[in-house]
Amino acid sequence: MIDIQNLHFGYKKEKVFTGLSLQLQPGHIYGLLGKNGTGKSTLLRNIAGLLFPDMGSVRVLNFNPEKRQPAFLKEVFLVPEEFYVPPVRPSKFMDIYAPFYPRFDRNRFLKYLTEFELPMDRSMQQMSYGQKKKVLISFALASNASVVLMDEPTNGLDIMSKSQFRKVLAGTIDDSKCIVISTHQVKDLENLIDRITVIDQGRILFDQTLDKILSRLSFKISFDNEEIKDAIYSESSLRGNAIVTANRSAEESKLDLELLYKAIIVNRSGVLSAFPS
Amino acid sequence: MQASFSFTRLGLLIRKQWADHSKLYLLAVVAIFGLMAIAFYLWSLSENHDPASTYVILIVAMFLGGSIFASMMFADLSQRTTGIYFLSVPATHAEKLVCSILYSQVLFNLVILISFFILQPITLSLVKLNPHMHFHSDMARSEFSMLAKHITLGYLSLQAFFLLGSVYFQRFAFIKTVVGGLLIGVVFVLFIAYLIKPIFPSHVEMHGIFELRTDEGQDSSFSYSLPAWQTYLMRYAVQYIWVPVFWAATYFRLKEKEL
Repeated sequence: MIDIQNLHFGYKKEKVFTGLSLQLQPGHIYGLLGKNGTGKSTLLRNIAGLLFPDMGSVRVLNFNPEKRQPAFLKEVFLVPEEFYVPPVRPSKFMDIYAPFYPRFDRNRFLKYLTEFELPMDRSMQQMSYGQKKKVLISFALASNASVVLMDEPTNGLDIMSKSQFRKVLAGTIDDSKCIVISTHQVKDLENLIDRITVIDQGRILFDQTLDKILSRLSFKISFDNEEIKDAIYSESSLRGNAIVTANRSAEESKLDLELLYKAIIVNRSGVLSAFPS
Repeated sequence: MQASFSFTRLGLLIRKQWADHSKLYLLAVVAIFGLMAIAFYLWSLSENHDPASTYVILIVAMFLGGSIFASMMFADLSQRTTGIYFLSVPATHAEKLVCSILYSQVLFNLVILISFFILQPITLSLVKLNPHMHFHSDMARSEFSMLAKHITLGYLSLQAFFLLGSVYFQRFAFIKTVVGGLLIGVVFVLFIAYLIKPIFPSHVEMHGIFELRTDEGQDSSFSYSLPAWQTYLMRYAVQYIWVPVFWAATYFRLKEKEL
């Protein structure tokens, strides 16, 4: 669905990607994790056709995003971190913008707006940042675009909205869609994403499905000094030491995304050693 | 054809453009009408009136207002937030360009013309009520229509140039386009004065851009020019080529725009 080969991209003097390759398949919600300024947004804008590779190729649904053909644009919806909304009410926004998306589901859009408890009678420009973002997320999901790209979607959302966001998103995914969520707030995506890609300094540090991660790694609280010493990553907490270890005995554990992310950043080789190719 | 241009999508874009900017456009209409009314009032204060001179108001309004308005057409691209919103709309670059041309070079000019042709007869009839006023006309009708044709062509070319400027420059598009236009003008004059003219001997002079004249002394002079049909073609091209050239440049600049 999304095929990135040997992507080279840079802004004037600063190189962001030097040979990044990545394939994303339909039917998944991908979590694109990484620190600020590591190229997550740049990658999404390359996929959306808003930036053009210096070298290498990006193909989305067999389209070249650079051409920004209508057939491509109606299949790819980007929810940027900073965005513009026109000075109209959400219903008017739908009337104006939805006809560009042939599979747009009006009922679903209105249902999402209700779930997010958004004021329908207010101009979108008079809404708070979080409310505007929720309208845009609702629109993106109701557009039925095959590829939905979200850049830091949970920024600006309150706790309840984050929970609603996860619920709405989980109900949207099907075998024909691919959702890519870029964030540095890894906790917000727990129980939502099914494949995790970590990028740093323009390269992929880690790229695995959730099932594989849980079959190879174990996340737990430990008081056993020996186990803590052997752990791939550990950090002390009030409850004991939170650790990431290789899952050698096929034990079941609950993924701690934040812990995994820290383990990848601090001890990447240790994490990768649990995933022999 | 549907992939590169669709009138349905163009219709949707026109509707979207109106929804996004209707407040600004309506304010612009009020401002144009108001400023023109003030200009006509000032014109009516003089004692000798040439009705043809009212067209100066139209020309100033068109050249100033039209270029400012055209330089705002792609202002969305100056910021990443609005630029992403603009570029992500599922329509081709050609449709987005045509929509912008429609607003800046068709609808805007219609508003200017309608405002002018509402205010002009009203002002003239009010002025005629005063018996102390004198009317005269210094310009023949044929002279006037020839001038109007050249001004219209120049104006449309200038507007298309400012439309290009609006997609070319991220900030201060109007000012930068003015400066850019002046620079091009200066370079052209210098090119003619220091590179083209020195090529010819001193007794050869350029007469316009399609004819050379020599003065050999003793009442002997020659004129060199291209065949009439070539001169006609080139003159035609010089007059009409700028608008499509600037539109084409705007289209390609829009296509390669990154945010």
